[in-house]
Amino acid sequence: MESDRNHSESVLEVKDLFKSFGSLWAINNLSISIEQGSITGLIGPNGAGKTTLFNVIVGEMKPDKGQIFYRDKQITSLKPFQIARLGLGRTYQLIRIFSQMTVLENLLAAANTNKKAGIDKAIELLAKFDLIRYAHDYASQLSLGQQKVLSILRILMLDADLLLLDELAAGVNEEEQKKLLDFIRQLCEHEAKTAFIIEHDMDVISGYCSKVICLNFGEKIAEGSFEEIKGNKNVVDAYFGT
Amino acid sequence: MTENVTEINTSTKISQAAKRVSFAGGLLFFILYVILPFIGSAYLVNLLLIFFIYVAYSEGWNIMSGLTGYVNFGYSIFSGVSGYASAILIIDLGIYWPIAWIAGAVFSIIVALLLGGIMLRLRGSYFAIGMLALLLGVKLLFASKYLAPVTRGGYGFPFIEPVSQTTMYYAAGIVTMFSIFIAYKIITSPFGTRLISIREDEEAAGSLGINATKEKISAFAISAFIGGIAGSIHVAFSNYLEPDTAFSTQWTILPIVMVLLGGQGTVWGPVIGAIILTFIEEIFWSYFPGSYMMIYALVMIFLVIWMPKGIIESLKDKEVLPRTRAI
Repeated sequence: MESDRNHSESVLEVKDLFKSFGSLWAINNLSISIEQGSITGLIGPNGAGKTTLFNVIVGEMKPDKGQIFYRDKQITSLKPFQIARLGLGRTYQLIRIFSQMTVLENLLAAANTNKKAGIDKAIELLAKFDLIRYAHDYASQLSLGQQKVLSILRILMLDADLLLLDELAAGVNEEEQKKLLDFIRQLCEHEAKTAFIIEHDMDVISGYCSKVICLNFGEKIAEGSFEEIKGNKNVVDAYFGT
Repeated sequence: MTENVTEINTSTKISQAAKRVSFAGGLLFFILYVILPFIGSAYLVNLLLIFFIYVAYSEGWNIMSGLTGYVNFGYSIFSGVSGYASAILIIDLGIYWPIAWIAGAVFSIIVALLLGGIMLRLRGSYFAIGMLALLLGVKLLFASKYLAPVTRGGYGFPFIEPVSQTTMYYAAGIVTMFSIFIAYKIITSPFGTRLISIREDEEAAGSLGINATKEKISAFAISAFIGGIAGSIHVAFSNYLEPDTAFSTQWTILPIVMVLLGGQGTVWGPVIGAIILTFIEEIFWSYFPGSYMMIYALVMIFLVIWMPKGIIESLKDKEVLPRTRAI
């Protein structure tokens, strides 16, 4: 019941979610709650349903059953662009920046304001990562790490406050990784953002996530802090087999 | 930080230089355009009139297909429908021709809004072939006995232009300048940026809050309006209206080849493409009156092999032209 939900803390609620592809249940009776200001990690072996969960949350796939609430507003049947405008931003595992558009244009595409305000905001964001000099270069000319930054900056242009980040650290060197994740942490601690991150790198999970959810075969098999999770038999079995 | 701002300003300076060049070129052309009927031959006025129609028509196509990447193989639906509508308004209802032309183009917008909601659900090749199939259907419809009382069916009807060649020339020039201006405004605006992002990755664009359906339909409607006006002028110029010419293959392929040659999604690409193709077409037509349309095929082959991005984008890549959307 809506009145029972904790209004002040839960940013995202997934209730009894099911998603199948033919006879395969990619998500099987999943319920999750994400708290405001937290960085929550989503882990699990490949094929566990992590990216599928993100796809369903942002409306790119429709669930078979279940509901998704963003700040107590039901978003299950909304279109992706509507969900994005409400404040959910997602990045993709395989970066999907607009490669034949400039860095500045990539940011402007997400802006919902007039051109001048959009450019001002874009420059402000680019400055934080020392990317202003690339503003008029094609996005394809950036390094992988810079492209990852760009994909986050794009959703910040949207004023997204729930950031769904899919394997942000993958393929990026340690220094860039730290800078990226420190930035995410700073956004969550000081700018009222919340992050839900899919990761395979356990150092990242242990270093940044206050809560970790582990999926396997579309089901939640463990939930808790990293310390609680890492010794969990189900989690170990999922990754290494019995 | 000062250094970074300067770099942004440098790029803006380049854009400003580009704008100045565009303005100067446009001004020069405008002067020539105004005085041509007084200093040039009727043939030249006629040629330029055809050129204007081609440019406006191609810019219209470019606004939709050049930017969003939804290649419209049925663009002559809009020009043909508008051409018929304006001809009927002029001949049967005695409406003053500029009003009839605009009314015809507005009718094209309505057609675009009706079709767009359905056709724009198709992607890529499906959209292209779907529009082509739709075009053929429309051609048959206009030739059929069902619409014959209005359209005169397959027989067509003679259309005595209510205006002189020179007046049409000036009107076409204005329409052309308008179409280039609209293209410029759209391409350099956030709307244009969103359209291009749809071409890049429509799903990712959606994840950034872009309502792709709305943007596509808007571009489709604007494209239909401009194509409609070009179609009305074309009909007035042709003196005879029938489904085969209003919805002809040539009229369908023409904007595609011109825009791809000049550079899709660029402001001046359609103009460059129109200049080259009008020129080549005149030459080819005098030597191969029956098969001059083969130049379209030859141009396409040339493009695919040597210049897939078109002329303007290739020049930007070679840094002959500044890298700005204003050109």
